[in-house]
Amino acid sequence: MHHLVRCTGLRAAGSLNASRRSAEFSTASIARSQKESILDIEKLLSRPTWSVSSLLPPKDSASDAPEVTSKQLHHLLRLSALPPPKDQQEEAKMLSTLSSQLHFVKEIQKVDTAGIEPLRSLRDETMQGEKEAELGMEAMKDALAQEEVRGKHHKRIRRRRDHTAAKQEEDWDVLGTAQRKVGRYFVVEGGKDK
Amino acid sequence: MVKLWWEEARAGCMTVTDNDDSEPLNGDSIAIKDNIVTSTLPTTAASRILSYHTSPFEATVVKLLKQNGATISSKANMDEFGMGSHSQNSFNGPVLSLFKRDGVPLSPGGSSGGSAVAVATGNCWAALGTDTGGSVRLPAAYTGTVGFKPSYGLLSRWGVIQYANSLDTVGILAASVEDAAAVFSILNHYDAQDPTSLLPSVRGRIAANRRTFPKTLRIGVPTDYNIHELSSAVRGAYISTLQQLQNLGHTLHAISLPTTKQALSAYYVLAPAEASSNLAKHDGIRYGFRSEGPDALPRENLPLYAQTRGEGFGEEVKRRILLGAYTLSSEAIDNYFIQAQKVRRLVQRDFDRVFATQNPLLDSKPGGGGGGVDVIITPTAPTLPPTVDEVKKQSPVESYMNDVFTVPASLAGLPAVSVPMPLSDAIEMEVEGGDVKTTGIQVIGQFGDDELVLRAAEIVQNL
Repeated sequence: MHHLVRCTGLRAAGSLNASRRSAEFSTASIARSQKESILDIEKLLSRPTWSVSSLLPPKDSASDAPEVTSKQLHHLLRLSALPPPKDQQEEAKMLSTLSSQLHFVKEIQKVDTAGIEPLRSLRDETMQGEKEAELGMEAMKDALAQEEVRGKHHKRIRRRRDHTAAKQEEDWDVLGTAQRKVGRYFVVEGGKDK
Repeated sequence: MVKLWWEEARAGCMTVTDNDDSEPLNGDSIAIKDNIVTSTLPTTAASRILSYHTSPFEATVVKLLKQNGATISSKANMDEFGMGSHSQNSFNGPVLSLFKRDGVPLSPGGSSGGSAVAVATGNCWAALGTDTGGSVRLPAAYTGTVGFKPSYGLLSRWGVIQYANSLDTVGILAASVEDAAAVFSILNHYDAQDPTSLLPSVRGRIAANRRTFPKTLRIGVPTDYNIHELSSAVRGAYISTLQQLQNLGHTLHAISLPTTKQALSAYYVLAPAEASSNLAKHDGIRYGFRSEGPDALPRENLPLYAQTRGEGFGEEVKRRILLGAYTLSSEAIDNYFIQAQKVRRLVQRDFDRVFATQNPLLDSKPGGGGGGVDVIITPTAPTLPPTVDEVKKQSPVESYMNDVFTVPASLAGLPAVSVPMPLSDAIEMEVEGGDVKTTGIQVIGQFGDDELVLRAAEIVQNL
């Protein structure tokens, strides 16, 4: 990007303007006015098309978002490894927040998506890309070369350790950031049952 | 202990220039958002659950900056794990803008608020942020800086603490488009350590498709971004920008991106769902904060790790994890998570339909044909920044509305940059001395058209 001239300092509002305009744009301006009509931008934007606050749950009436029960809430918290609410008040607040969030997102259910392939991640979805992503024998060659067959009566496949990868792993002190450890092990303390 | 940007502000900028003059960044100081790991400074993602955590390795983007002569000045405060639009949800305390209204500090925008303020105050030359649904562009719009989110997968995420990995993008904050572009060109490399890094084959396809920069740009004006909540100050600056571009000879074209309304809802399904999965690893066992005593308390109905996670995560993080657990649960996954992914496909198609360039990730262009636009220009945020007191009064979902203009480009992975634009004279007379005098104008391009987007942003900047 050699065309970009590097400069620092915050641009002062409204300054430096006219002088930076390049000559090519002023000539283009004349050419354009002859062939393309000018869009009346003020007219185009004079009337808003929708309101983003329409996604919010109504303040006075009950939301029509799906009802999440107390039992479901406790189950979701357990799935999330988060503590249950301290009291009734906290539980009511959690349920009301979840309900307003669900109201906010349920707009997607109004869209007809029959036959639409979900966009799961942004990756190369071209035919060429899909082909490159396939794991063939060529891609496996190096890994297979690391395998050897051991044993005579009970043949089994063993993988030789890749020494460069092993070296990197050894350099990293896996337990270095753990708060509690016993010898070479992490510690998870389960607590006593009822 | 980590030196955060506000401490740096007092101590002055730390620019140790032991670098060779020939290096591109030549000792330039760069602040790093606190969710990008550095091996010499702690990395906490502004969460108690990672308090005092120092990574044993360095993020690829940080390594590249250092190799090119940059000095890492500080770690920048942020919304915990990137979850927020105002940088108020931080274990380190809220980030305040340098601007004020009636004596009350304004929101710096989020989640990369610390990075934006560090640049706006001149405390560093540029800063890295991350952008999942607008987290670099919104703070740029609120602080009068430039915020660039490149195409998804161009910059390495190796060493970037995940929030929603199908959307997370490293972004750049700087005082000018040129500075942001200089940092981008240093970081734009394939990284085998990041499985979502765009492969050399795709990068080659993008380079092969690159057209010469048009003398006059065809600019798309999406009518779906003209919402009721668009404030007169922002609308005025937006209209003025478009009129000036038209006067320069660029052509304006009304376009429709009909899935915009559902895009915001889809985002708030997908991001929390991915977060509930990505944040499952924070349990205190291998790194980070850990509660006193045993890891489970069956007598008190506390399952394994629940106490550590309950004490370690902030409220907004817990809210999003819970929402994600719901939308991924067996009874809801089809109507929420999968449906949101289908809506995401429609958002991508909306963009592919209007752009002149073919999406390099896909074979065929739906509809398409001639007459497409080169870039789309929109406001970055519907309003000027609220004060931090106003933010406190908002409900969690009210603050989600802020992302309405930034989320669609995130869902489609498109390059987008926010450029500061002066408010019109009439509005500027009304605002008091310490208030913001600019708003953000967003330039969006087709996937891979990062260079075109930056060059168009340069034209907007120089109006």
